[in-house]
Amino acid sequence: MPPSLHRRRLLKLVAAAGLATVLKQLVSLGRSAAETVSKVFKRTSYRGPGKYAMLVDITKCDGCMRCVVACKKWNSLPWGNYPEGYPTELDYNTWTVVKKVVYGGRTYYIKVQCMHCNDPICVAVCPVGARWKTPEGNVLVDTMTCVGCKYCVEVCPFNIPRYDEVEGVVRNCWLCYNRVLAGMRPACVDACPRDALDFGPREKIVEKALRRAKEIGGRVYGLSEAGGTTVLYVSDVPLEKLGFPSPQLLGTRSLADRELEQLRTSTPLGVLLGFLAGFLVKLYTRRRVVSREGGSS
Amino acid sequence: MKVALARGSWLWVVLGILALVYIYSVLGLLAVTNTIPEPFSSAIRSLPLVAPPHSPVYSPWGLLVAVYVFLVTTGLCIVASWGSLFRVEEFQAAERRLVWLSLVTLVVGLVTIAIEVGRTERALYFYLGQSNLESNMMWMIIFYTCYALFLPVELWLHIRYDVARLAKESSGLRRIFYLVLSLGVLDTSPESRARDEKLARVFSGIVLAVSLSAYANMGSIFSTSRTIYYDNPLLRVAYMPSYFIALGVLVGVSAYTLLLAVRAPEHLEKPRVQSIIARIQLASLILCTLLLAVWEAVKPLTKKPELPVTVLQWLLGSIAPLALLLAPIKIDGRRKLVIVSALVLAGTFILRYDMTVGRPLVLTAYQPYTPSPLEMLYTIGVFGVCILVYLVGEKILPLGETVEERSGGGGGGA
Repeated sequence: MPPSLHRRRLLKLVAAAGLATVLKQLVSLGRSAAETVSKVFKRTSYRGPGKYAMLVDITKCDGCMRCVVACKKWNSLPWGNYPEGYPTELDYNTWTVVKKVVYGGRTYYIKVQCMHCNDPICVAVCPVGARWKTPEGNVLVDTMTCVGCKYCVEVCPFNIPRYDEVEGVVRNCWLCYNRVLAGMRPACVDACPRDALDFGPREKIVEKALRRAKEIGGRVYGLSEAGGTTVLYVSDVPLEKLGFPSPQLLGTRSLADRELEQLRTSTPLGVLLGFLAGFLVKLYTRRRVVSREGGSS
Repeated sequence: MKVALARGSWLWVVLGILALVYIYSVLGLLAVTNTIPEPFSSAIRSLPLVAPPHSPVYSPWGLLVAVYVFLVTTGLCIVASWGSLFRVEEFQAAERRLVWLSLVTLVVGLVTIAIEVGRTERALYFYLGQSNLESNMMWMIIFYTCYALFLPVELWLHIRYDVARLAKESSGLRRIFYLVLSLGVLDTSPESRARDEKLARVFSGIVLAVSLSAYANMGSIFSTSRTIYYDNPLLRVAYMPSYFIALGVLVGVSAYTLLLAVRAPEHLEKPRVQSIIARIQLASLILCTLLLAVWEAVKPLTKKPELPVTVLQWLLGSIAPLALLLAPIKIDGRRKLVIVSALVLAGTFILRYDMTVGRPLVLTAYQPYTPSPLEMLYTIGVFGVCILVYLVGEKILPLGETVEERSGGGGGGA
């Protein structure tokens, strides 16, 4: 065998070995990249029902507004000049209000505050991670990190977070997390004189809510809506009649899960469609050139 | 000659006034949010049209967000890639100008959102690792950052050869300027030009991929705020990103048409160019009209439809352009395309506004949103600033195809 053939074979062998090494490296690189991507898309914030829950019994509330006053006091929020004597809408300085709704000839007073969803979409969409959920069930916002993009305000199905235009950040109820950590109940719950509010371990609160719903022939809102919430409502009329988003609209799957699904799909879909448009334009113009040349010949 | 000069001067005067309007509104918006230090802030707040605060409580996203979305999803880079990446001859006429305009709209759009966001300086935390990787807005920031980094590189590769020649041929300050712009790469050999073109093609592909990802993520953000409640996965997941890409193609082709009409009218006179532009516009208009019909069905859940907005977006963005393209109207082909393009741009802007302003009608009383005078001033000014910056770029950068073409009037000003 001539020496050049040996050399050629040797070169082929070396090339094959090199290629195999590169391929192996590429495979392992691909694997570690896939692992990184799966880690990246894994949620880091706590998700799921918290240790505690709050119950709002709409049938017992008489609109005394003590909860609103207690909230303002405990959280050092200023009391403004309200035309009706008390706030009627949430704002960045008013984290809870009691709304008066007339339905079926009867007046209902509905305490409105952050629902502290089990898997909150406001936490999922915050670009800088300024929002997070605690194992206790509270949804918190770090106003020192918030960039004021208002995405959380835009996506909250209950329309709760409010933008502080002067500070450029978003604020809302934090379910008195400092009190909860100290083993106390939120300020609004402690202030209620009608036993319309309760706070405690989630199992006990859920049990109480279901029992009460059975007594009044009503329903519990928040057990499964949008994946469930920390604040539960019990009422003798469907809450969607009183202004809440309907359970059918919210579904039982968490909105944060749906957002993640959108995130995973959008980029490959967009790139695919955009390049497809380019190839179609290229194909069309080439066909036209070919047909023109064919016609002229 | 005199008339042309006078016309040009008037354009610069109008653009100058619009730039002043823009600066006034920017100062006002920054004063309202206390971004400017206090003594100045109070002084500016006392000026006419500045107070009250520009964004109402019940509509978190307003006109400025719509302006931002419009400016950063123009689709100009998609159309630019048809010329540079896919080598479609009909789209190679104003390649550099398209990339430059794309860069101008991107930067002005990013400035707009920086003004709108409450604490823009904290967005820097993101670059220091404070980020939430499950947020589609965070991915949008990543893709737009890459887009803003790669687009200037693509432009530089397109113009480097001519910049190097200008640096060699000119003197004084102009020479220093072009020397800096060439980054010291003064090779003007045909090989270096071929290398630049090859690299520009690669970067055009990268920019296209990054911009499409950015558009799709922007669509995903609107999916989360507008279609998340729907069970149908096509509607919930795929609809908005697809709509953003389709609109990008439509707006990009329309902007390209207007650019040709002003800067390369002889190219737009060609029946071949007119035919391909008309066909792409027609196809994307039909697709966007179908998607617009879906939007009309989808939107009542998360916003209260406003009749004037709906009428205008249908009329300007769909019916009138479609009628012009399809009806056998005896009108010059070039003029027809220009009118269609202008209508499409106006209709798309209204659509962006319609998509941006909304609020799920739950738990709180609905309060309709009306843009404040400051927001309106900003919107008027921002388009003037885009044109002004673009024209300044045309004056100082070799955006014509070659130095010869540029000196022959290809890159002339207004």
